[in-house]
Amino acid sequence: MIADWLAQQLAPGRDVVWTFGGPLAKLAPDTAWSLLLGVAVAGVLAIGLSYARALVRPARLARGVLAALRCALWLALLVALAGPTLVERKLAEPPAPRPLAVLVDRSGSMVARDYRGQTRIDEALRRWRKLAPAAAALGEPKCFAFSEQLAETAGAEQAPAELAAGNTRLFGALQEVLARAPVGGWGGIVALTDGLETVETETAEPLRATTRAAVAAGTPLHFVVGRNAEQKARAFFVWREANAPEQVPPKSTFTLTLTAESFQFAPREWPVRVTVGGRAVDAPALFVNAGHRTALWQTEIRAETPGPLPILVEAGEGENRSRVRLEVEVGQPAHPTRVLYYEGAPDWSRRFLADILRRDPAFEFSSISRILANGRVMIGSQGAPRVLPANAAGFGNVDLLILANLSAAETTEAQQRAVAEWVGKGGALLFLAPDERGATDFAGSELERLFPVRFAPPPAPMVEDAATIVFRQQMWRLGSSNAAAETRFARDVLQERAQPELLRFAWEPRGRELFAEDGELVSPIFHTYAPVAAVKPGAEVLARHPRETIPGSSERAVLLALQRYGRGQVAVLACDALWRWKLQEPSGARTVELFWQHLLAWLGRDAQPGSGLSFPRAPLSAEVGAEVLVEVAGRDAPPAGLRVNSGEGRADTLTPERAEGNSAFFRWKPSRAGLWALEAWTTDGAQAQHWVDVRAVTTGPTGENSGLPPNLGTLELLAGQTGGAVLGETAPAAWNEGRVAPQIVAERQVALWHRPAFFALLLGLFAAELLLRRVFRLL
Amino acid sequence: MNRRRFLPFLFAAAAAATVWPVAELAAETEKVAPQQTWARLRFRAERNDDDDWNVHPNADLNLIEVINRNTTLNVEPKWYVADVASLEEMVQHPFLFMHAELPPTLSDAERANLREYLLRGGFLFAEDCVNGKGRTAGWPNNGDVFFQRMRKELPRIVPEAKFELLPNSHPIFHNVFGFKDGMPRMQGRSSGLWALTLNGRVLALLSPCDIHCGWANGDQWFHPGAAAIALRMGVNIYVFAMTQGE
Repeated sequence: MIADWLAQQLAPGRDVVWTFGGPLAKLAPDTAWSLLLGVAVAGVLAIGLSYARALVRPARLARGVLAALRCALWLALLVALAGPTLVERKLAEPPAPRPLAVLVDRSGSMVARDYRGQTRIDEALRRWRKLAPAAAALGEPKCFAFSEQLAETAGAEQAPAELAAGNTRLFGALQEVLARAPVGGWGGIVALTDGLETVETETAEPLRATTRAAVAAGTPLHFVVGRNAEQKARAFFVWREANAPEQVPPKSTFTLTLTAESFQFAPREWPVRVTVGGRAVDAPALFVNAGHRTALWQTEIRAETPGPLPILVEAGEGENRSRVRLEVEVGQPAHPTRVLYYEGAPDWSRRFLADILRRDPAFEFSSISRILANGRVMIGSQGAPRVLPANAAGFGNVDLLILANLSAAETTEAQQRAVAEWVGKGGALLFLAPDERGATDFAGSELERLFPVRFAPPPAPMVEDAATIVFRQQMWRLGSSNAAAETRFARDVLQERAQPELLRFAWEPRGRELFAEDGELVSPIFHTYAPVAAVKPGAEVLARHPRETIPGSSERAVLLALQRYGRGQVAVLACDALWRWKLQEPSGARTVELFWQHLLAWLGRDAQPGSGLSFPRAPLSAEVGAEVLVEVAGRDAPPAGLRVNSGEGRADTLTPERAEGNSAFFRWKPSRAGLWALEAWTTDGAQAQHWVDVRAVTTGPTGENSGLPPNLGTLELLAGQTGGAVLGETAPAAWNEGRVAPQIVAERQVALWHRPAFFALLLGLFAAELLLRRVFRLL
Repeated sequence: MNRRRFLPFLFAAAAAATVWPVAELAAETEKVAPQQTWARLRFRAERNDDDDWNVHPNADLNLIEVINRNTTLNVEPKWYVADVASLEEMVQHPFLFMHAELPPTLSDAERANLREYLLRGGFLFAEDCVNGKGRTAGWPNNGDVFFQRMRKELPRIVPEAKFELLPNSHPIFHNVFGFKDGMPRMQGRSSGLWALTLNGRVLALLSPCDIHCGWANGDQWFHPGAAAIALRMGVNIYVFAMTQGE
């Protein structure tokens, strides 16, 4: 109390505290001041007493004045000895917390009542009411409601009259709310939803776009999931996509990959029956989780003798039996795999790989190296393009493109689009990032969409070590030559020689399958690697770091991963598994060669030309009476015609609806169930076939009121990738961080006894007392 | 500086920028390539000399700086050492630089190490220092004694390889900077640039021209502009070692 009063007198309106020196240092200011006051009073009494009992007794007034001066001096000395210090602090204005946006899903599935009369929105709002007090700490949240449209509302509970309960445009609404953020952005978006997007049919890209927008704005996405008793829907199973090379060499093995769409009430395993060349072969079963899911299924197929190899895959039962029929041509490769290696900045890997591939007739290797930053000096193979092509046709003679040390900033959008388009049409891309520098920020770029992984942010720029800098400065001073200094420098360098740590790939089971040769598994050696922040959904990881983990995750860091993109595929090798490994191996060893030949041959396996005719858009299954759009593409021109054949005597020739470039588009309405063959042909006699499994019904109702359970998987993925969470009844810790204690930005300490005026006062008191004693004839 | 003095200074700077390609291109960009190392080969020379291999180490640092400033390459601005007696040390570096005045004395084990290093894919650039720490004073026929010894050693180390003088039309003289007259000479006897080639790949280069001393302090030791010429040839050699085969 005393301290506060004194502080306010000395620094009115400021935030001040006291500290003391000497024996009072460890006491609280109030205690110290109280103690000091006690000692002062005792001193004053002693002074008064001593003057009262003086041998020479001056007049009462003189005694009073002298005692007062002595007391003042005593008190001032006490203050000086206690050493009080005034600490004046300047506190930062706490940053204004970023407000939350609350987005309420009022689509059909959220407002539909179950048999108890409960809606999902009731449930979500009940949870939100428990979270709202914590959210209020960040300020009044801004509320929105959406179904197919988005509307602002006064509160989360309010349903705008203009909003019809229709389809769910979840991703679009999230992106629109992100775009409407105030200056500084939202502190988070809380979406009350069941996550059933029904406007976008393909959700992978909208999901990526939403994640990108949220991460760029630094806004975590939180979800409060609404549930109720679900209505019964019909379970279904259907194959949606098939991937296999058009042509493979005899006596080789290739991978057949199928994607299924299914809705199941409980997890189950579907047996898959595979017939290759008319003979049944063993194949793994397909596990599908409960709910509306897509699932990937793969098997290895053995190709033996040249000729067409028919493959039939069946799964499901009864009316849910789904079939895929396709044909792979078995034959010798028409040409070597044509590899184009483009390096945005050279390192030693290209030269070592060139040495390996130039000795192998199965490959035709060419490269382009960008030597100067402005691209003015490019070193390239004869016949190779001088720059990375800016349109897909520029990769006409390329089967496998290797991109190394590429900077997103130095690669134009047209070049990135060209690579994406080429891969989408069946090209194979291998992206090399030997360390974090080779994986510079591709976030949001066209190329990043292709990659199976997202890289962590780039590192700080390189710096010279201190010893080298000191030595160079010495040499400049000496005029660049001094034998003694040079010998000393070399001796110092010799002291710090250390071998870099070399590590081996940790293969995932799929990697083992692919790279084991006659039971022997080659494991590349590496030293540096590019940290991967996340593996994209649907990507396949083949090899991992033996020790390090993905930042913020318990998964080990990714070294080799791949994913399908359109009809092509993209692999990322995120480490330096080339020159360093090759230099470590004895010159006679072939392990490095084997690994690279195997990897590149496997990546380029789809590139062998088939008939030149393809079906870029054609379903694997269709419903009787439902219209199907079919796109057939020729190599140089659209196909001459398309015939549909039920295999039971019904065949029709279709008329193209329109032609665009090399493609022709046909509309077809299957008239009966069965495995229909679509036969396309060109004027020069080339033919290609595609099979469609036509059924009475393929899928169950997937609209708003289908009774599908909330799509928790997508919501967890969105939340996880943006730093948010699927909320229960506890608010995220980050909401409380808005109420942090103010930060001290400046502090000034003023020692009270240390001021010249104070010493002048002491001297003045002492001198005054001496003078008065003389005046009163006491001296 | 007033306007009268500033304008001539500006014009001079602009003129210098157009005639000095290294300076013209010296816009350092963010490096995306992984860091490569630069390493000196340590060896023993005649007269049991173990201190000749490290002559003018600052020159290497000057070249690294020019490479980093002018190209997309990313060489660590540091100096490593690999002992010719240790294959394990040599294989940490895809490029080794060997430089001295005195003739090297290689043992059979060291020759075997060098051979294995080159066959695995390593690259060696060996250059005669001619006159560095003054160790060849009084040596008979001094001027290129290191070169003469290495000219015998390299074909002996990889006998199946071809050892020949590179013509002026060779890509190494034209890949980044143009040298229509071939290898520039700083001092010593003029014998051009020699290459040890196996199956179309250059394993090693040998030069008596001492461009390394040009990297160190060429303008003062030889003639004005010598440093730039030597540094540009150094850039060509490093880039060629990395990109050869095109």
